[in-house]
Amino acid sequence: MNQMLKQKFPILQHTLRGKRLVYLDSASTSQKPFSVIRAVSHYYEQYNANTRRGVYRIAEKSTQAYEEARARVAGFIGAQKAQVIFTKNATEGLNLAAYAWGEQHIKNGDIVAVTQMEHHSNFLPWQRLCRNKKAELRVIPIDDQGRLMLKDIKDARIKIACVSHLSNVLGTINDVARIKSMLPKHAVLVIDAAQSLGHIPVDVSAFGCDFLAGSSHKAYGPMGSGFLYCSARVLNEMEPFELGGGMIAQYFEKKNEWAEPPYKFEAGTQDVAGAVGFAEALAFIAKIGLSAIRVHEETLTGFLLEELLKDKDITVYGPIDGRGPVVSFCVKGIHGHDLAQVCSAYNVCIRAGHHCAMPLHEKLGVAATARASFGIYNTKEDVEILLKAIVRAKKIFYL
Amino acid sequence: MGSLLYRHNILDHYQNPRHFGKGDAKARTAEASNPMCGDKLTLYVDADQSGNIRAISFEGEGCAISMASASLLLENAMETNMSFDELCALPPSCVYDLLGVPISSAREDCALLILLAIKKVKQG
Repeated sequence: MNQMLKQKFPILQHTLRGKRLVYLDSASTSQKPFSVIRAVSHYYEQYNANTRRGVYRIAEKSTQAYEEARARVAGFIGAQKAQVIFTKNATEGLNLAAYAWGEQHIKNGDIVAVTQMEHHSNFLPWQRLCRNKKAELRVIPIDDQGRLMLKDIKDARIKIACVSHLSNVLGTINDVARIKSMLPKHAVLVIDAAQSLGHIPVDVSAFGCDFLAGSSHKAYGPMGSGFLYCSARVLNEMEPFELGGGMIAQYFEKKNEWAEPPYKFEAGTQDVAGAVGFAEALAFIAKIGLSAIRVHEETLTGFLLEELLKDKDITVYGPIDGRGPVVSFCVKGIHGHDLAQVCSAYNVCIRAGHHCAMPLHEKLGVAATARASFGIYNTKEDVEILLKAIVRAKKIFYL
Repeated sequence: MGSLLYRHNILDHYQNPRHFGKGDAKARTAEASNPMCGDKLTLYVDADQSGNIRAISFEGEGCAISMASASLLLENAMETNMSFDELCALPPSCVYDLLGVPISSAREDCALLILLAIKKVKQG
């Protein structure tokens, strides 16, 4: 399926010094299909106008497109339209949850549970909240396979638990529905779906979560758009985080009346083109089908893992089975950054560093790892070129 | 560029860093890190009152560029009897000259980590 799919991504048609682009950093940001790029440019060319403000035709069309985009996101994750707040990315969504809900509901003595494998965006806002509120930040540890050890999450003092659906380093897919069933009944579950959206099914009703954040740009959509899903329960308990245009229903000198959700959480002019592009990306994913995407990405991940594990100089992190399309590894004697540099000479893009997950790297006992991650456009040949680059790096470093 | 960057002397300094190790207890010390790629080094400078360097060393872990830059710079400083003040006044170009290969913008922080450590030692 992929040679044909590759054709749909303009950036993958370019070569550098005769070498085609082998893009293996989709966990950082995915490439964009032509249909998404076209939807964004079409918006600016044909109906760019502010939403919910003008009565003229293009303003109506812009508003309609924005709301259709919201409906598309809601439909993709099994939510109601009014439960989807547009944000600039998953990070903003998680911060919004921490401020708009956390600030009012977390008290001295409560426990906020986060996992050891969280990205900084689902760790730092909760860490600060705990410091401000004198609450306990409980870090749910991982085992040697990179799976969560859940024995401490039944504690009745846990008010909120913040869990990544798919780890951006280990590739671990967390059984978030099971986590929800283990948590105390009243506890709020926050899911960071930045890595899973577009790769595996995301269904808020099946998960039973109260918050779920995602980004457009990791799911073939434009940068600058994302969302926060809120359950009916938390949506009604939240105060707006940002104040400004579009989020107020009635101004009163003493106490303002806010607009209904989701608008009360969307102050100021929004990234409408981004939302339109995001919706187009979700349509693109739906057309291919998440099950076909999953099969393809599992095949590539399995192939890469199998090859890496053959090499005794390579350490692979995370579970072997049941993982997403993300593989982090270290090659003995070669820092991840140096490996990525050698790969770059082959026009192969991999990521190196701590991938914004320093608590996890502390646990792994390494300052940095190299990471290859897949999207629907990747092929077995892409993996073979990466493997060649690793062999080359070893030749350079193991003189 | 992959192999050009990792020419023999850079790899040699990475794999066999000079002046590598913990300094004396009386040495002034500072830690510098490059959070984006996880390079970390600690610099130990033992200088007398007039700024003559009696001993200098570093330890840490990081990419080839960060470790080789530190090794090359400290070796050069000791070979030329550089004073601590002279060491502190070194511009980035000095590190690039010692490396002798073009450094891309993404690797500048790696190459200049040793200068950051020197600055931090100076600031105390």
